[in-house]
Amino acid sequence: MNQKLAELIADVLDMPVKEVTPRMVREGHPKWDSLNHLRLVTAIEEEFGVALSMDEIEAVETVGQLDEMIAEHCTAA
Amino acid sequence: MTDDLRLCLEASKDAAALKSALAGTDVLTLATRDAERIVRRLEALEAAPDLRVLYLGNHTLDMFARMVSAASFCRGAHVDGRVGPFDQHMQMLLDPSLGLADYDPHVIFLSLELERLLPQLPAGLAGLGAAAREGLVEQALAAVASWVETARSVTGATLLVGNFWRPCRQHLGIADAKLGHGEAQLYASLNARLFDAYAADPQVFVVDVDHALATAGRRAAHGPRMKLLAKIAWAEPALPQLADLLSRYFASMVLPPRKCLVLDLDNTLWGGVLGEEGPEGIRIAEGDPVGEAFRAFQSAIKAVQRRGLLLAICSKNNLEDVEEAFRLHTDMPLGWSDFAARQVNWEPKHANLQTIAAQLNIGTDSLVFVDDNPAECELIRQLMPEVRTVHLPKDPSTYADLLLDLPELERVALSEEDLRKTEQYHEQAEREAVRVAAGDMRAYLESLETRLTFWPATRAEMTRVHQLFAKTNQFNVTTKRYRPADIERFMASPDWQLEVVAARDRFGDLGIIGAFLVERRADAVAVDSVVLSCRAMGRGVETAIANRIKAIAAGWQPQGRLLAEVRPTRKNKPVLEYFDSQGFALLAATPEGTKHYALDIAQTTPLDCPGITIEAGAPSLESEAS
Repeated sequence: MNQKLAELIADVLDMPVKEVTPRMVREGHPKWDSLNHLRLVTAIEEEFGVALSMDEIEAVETVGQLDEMIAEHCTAA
Repeated sequence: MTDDLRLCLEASKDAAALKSALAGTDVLTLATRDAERIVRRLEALEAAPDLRVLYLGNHTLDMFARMVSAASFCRGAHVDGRVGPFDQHMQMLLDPSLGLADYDPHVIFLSLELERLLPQLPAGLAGLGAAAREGLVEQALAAVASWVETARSVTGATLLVGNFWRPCRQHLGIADAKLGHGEAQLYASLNARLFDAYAADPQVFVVDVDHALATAGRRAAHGPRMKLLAKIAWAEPALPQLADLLSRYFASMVLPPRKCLVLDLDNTLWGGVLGEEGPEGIRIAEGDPVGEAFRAFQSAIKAVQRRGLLLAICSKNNLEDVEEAFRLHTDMPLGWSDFAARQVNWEPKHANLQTIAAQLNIGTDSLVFVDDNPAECELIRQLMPEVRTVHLPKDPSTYADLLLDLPELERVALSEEDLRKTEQYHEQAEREAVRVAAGDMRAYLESLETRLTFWPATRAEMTRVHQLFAKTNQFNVTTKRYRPADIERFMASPDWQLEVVAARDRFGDLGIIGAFLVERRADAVAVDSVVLSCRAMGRGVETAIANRIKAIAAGWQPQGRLLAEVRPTRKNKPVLEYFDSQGFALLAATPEGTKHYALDIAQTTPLDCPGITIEAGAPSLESEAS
């Protein structure tokens, strides 16, 4: 997965970067709450120069999905 | 910015180191993620905060609260923030299980978004008449009023209430302005009435959120996606501007106030060098763009003076030239008499700053020094780090804004005394001149013809009393910094007597110069606080206050004891022997230096106060104001 994304997630969720894996699940994650999710979206949009739709933001369930979503946006642009 | 910040956060081993590393950070450039890092680091250091602030409202305030804590800390105030549950600002006050009492905030900030408060508002406004619009205003004001009254009944916290901000777009477009009762007028009228409602209320401050959002840009502050997803009403780009506003309040509440603005002259108050161009050659005239820039700066300085700060000149010049310049340019916004102290000579500036502080009887740590010369600024920064040094850049068009932006010059509220401060210092200088001429102290005191009035403090004196407790460093026996809510409690309680003392003499009205607080206990009367403005020290008022306290004690407990204590601080040397000189016996001293005193009330006699007459009742000025 994108290393920049892993670092961003680690920073926003305040956790070690090695614990960020594509299989990391949002639901039930102690730090990935709804507010941190929005913080993460804002940071991603700023860092990668992409804009996610409301549906996309809500649909994210894992780090892997987020990684793919960013890749799609970046190739589309 | 971010990498530097990360390094400096990691290098800071305690809160003090972190504070000095962040000092001077421009809070308007703080990114949300940087703010988050600062706050996390601060939390990890586990230092005790200066203020606990609870944020309540009907929109999501979490990121805002973090930004405020970061901005406040960059300004030297350690603010711990907690955000209450969404849209439960009333429940938070009334339901003990939500933890208000456990957190015990010093400040509660309330922000209500009008659209959510009045769901019928947005689209419906088009069909509403003037009366219906008025009804909406009433409804919104009533919602705030009932929250404020409830808050008052359950907490002593200072209440900061955000005003209502206009949305970015108007539903009726440009036609709104022609309607006579449109959206624009709704917000204007609502906010005007909100300011009015709490202007005189010492516990409540209406915070101009609308102005901060307009300054940040309503378009930048508008983020419909985050609003829909998470009820975030203030988009990220607007947060630094809003946090700037709140951190001004918190820094003013926590930090010792700056009391005097010390100004250079050449290329600071006017354009050009007086010694070279001569009094006619300096640029300060209307019609000259550069001259007008300096006039705008002088007007801004005049406004700062009205906030209760003193002005002083510190300039390397010939005194005669400077006096001539002020005589010649009488149309300048600032005149010679606006300056409470003037050091115009060729001495080094750090020596002159010491002299100015001594003349005004304030500490050098309450000075703000403004100069265009980088070498002078560097000298003061190195030799007197406690002084707030402001270096003016090349372009004078920026000066007025730069001054008005300084958070160190903020005051949360102004009292009558603030508005007349400079006048009072000039009267003080005349008194000094008489003292020198009289030679003999007793003759001097008698020549002043001091008249004192004592009366129990009321709400009319609240701002001044709060200021005396907050700002008095020298003549302050216990240095207890009471909040407005504490002061209200003392005023209402039959077991406490909180009195103020005002003074007049042959040179003028000194206003309210001191206050004291005594407590009636079962078998004794205890002196809790005595504060006296440094302007009124050393002329017998100290003894008059002690006499008054003894008289109150005799009325309450004629056979009991009058207790007192002195807690030494770095600055209250003038009070260390106060109770000894008033006939109290020293009982004990703790290892920290606190001294406990007592006096048998039955044995007390008033001590002699030469030259002082006590007048009855509150002065007419105050009774008119109340």
